[in-house]
Amino acid sequence: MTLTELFAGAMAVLVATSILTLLTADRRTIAGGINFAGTACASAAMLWIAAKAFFSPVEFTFGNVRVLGLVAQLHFHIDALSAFFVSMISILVTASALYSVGYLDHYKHDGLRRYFFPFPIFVAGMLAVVTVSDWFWFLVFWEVMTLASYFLVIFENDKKENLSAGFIYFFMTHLTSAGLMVAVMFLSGRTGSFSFTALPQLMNSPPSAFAGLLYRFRH
Amino acid sequence: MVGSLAIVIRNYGGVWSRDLGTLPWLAGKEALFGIRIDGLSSLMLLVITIGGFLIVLYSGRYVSSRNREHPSDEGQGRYYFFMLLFIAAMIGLVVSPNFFQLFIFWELTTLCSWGLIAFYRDEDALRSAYKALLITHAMGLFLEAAIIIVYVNTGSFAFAAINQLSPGLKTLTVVFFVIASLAKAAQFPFFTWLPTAMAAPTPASAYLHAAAMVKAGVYLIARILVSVLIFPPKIALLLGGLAIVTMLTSVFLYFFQDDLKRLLAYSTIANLGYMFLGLSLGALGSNLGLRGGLLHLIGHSFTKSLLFLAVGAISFTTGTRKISSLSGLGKKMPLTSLAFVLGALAISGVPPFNMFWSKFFIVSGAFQLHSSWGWTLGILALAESVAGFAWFIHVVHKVIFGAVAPAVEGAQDPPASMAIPLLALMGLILLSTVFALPLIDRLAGGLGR
Repeated sequence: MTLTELFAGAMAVLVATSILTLLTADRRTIAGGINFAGTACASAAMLWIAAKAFFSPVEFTFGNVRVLGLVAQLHFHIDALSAFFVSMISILVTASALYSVGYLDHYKHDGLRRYFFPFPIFVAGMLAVVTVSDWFWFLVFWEVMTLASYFLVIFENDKKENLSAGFIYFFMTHLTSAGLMVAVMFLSGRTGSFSFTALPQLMNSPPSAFAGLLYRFRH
Repeated sequence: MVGSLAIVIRNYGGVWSRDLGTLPWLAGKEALFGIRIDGLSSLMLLVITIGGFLIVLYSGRYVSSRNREHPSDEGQGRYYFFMLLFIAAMIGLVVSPNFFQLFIFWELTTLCSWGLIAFYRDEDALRSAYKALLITHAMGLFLEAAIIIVYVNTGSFAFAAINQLSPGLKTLTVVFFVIASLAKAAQFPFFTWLPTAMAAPTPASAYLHAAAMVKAGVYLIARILVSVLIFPPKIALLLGGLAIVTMLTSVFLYFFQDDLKRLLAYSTIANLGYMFLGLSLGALGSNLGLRGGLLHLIGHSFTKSLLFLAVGAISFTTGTRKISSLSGLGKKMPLTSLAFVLGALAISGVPPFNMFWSKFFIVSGAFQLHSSWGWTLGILALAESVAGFAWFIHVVHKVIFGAVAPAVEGAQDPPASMAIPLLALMGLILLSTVFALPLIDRLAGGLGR
């Protein structure tokens, strides 16, 4: 099995885990077990890829993917920095998934679909964010991670303080995502590419219309 | 709906036309009545017929004595007469091959909206219906004047006849079309009729916001843009500026609303601003902006239908639409709550829902102009989106989550005939971009921009 297949398999397992827990959430222990097993399998695969990447960067691509008229390269580049984050995420989410099996027992009156459905999606989003090397896809995975984590933050939605925390969290992340979106649009507009490697090219380019606009606002 | 879908699929963005007749006392170069279906008509037919079918299905239970907000079986005949005529008028409008037929159906939509807004016949409903009729009909006179200018000077009602006018007359005519469109689409400074039009039954409001009436205004500008070889740039800039003013005014007014329907009405006004912004960017040369504007039209139609029908289901079972009286709906009405939450996320431009893509295209289109004006428009549009997102999430937290309010104690999800449209629309807010964009690409590609 190639590293590309291993990576794609880990992501597929996480998505399948999310769907399976949605279907089995009424049987709390089984759903918790599935969530743990799926997360652990995906994490093990990602840890293997990270171990390889610590010695030499791992790169793979799924080619140019046309999303609704926008062409962006679904390209992953895992260097030592990415490998460090992948390792940290994989170990922690596996521990968290195991802990959740027992911990969620005390939410006797709450449906667990709201927890188990977004959890693996959140994990997949985080892993994709730290490995992808294309700004457009980075933005997409960033938003997937944000949306999934928002539903986890407001899991106890009876409590006003949780809702308030969820609101601040979602609003701040959406606000910063808007800034990120502006940056991605600016980058693609100037360089014609969403790739991470286009950034140094932009930094050396002459002043832009955006810089001109800022100048006008300042004077 | 099935017939329209078959035509759209068979035609797939191509042009199909058929002349149907003329009037002996009105000589013209072409037939006065007919059918012309191109990419733009196909797009509109999708929302008019799919939305129309789902809303009529939903209305069966809603307009009945089981409705706790308006428990009455009276007037069903009148309701369906105006509702079905509304759908027919919109179909007639978007398949019009010329300005003459378009104007007739344009006025028919005004009449239908008056009949539906006044449906409950109380003082509030009658006053609101009169206001809507007065503003849209009065500004419709600009449409009539523009059509007369085109006919007198060219002897034709054809859309492309505008290109035969002198530059001065062409600019004047386009300005008149823009004024009529802004009033119909409830844009600044004509937007006040739309929030008061919430006196209509909720399914009728849903249709008025999603597929009919206000969308006719957007359609007219899109049609002019497609037909006019060179859209006057100053008018395009003005249109973009007015769109931004409308969006910011509407989002400011979000924060003072305690009625879910009125909140949705202001949201419609703001989102129509997005569409006009996209069209104005298209007129200024941004293909991405134009595609975004048209995509926003489709996305907003399904998303706003979903939100209105969810609010209708809430008032159907609780008897109220007041944000301050509602809390904990998620525990009593899980399906309706899910529909409302997904609709709120979609309208706020959260991915992967349809309106994320259209907003992305519009804002990218603004930046693509590589000018200070483009950057200003793009950043202001994003600011509106973030502010709107904040308020929608606040409302979701208030009405869906938290402890169950007394008004919600006996609430339950609506019956199947009302739940099925909610389920279908939940699917459409995810998928509409996938099937609408190929049609838009054919249309926008054909414009050569």
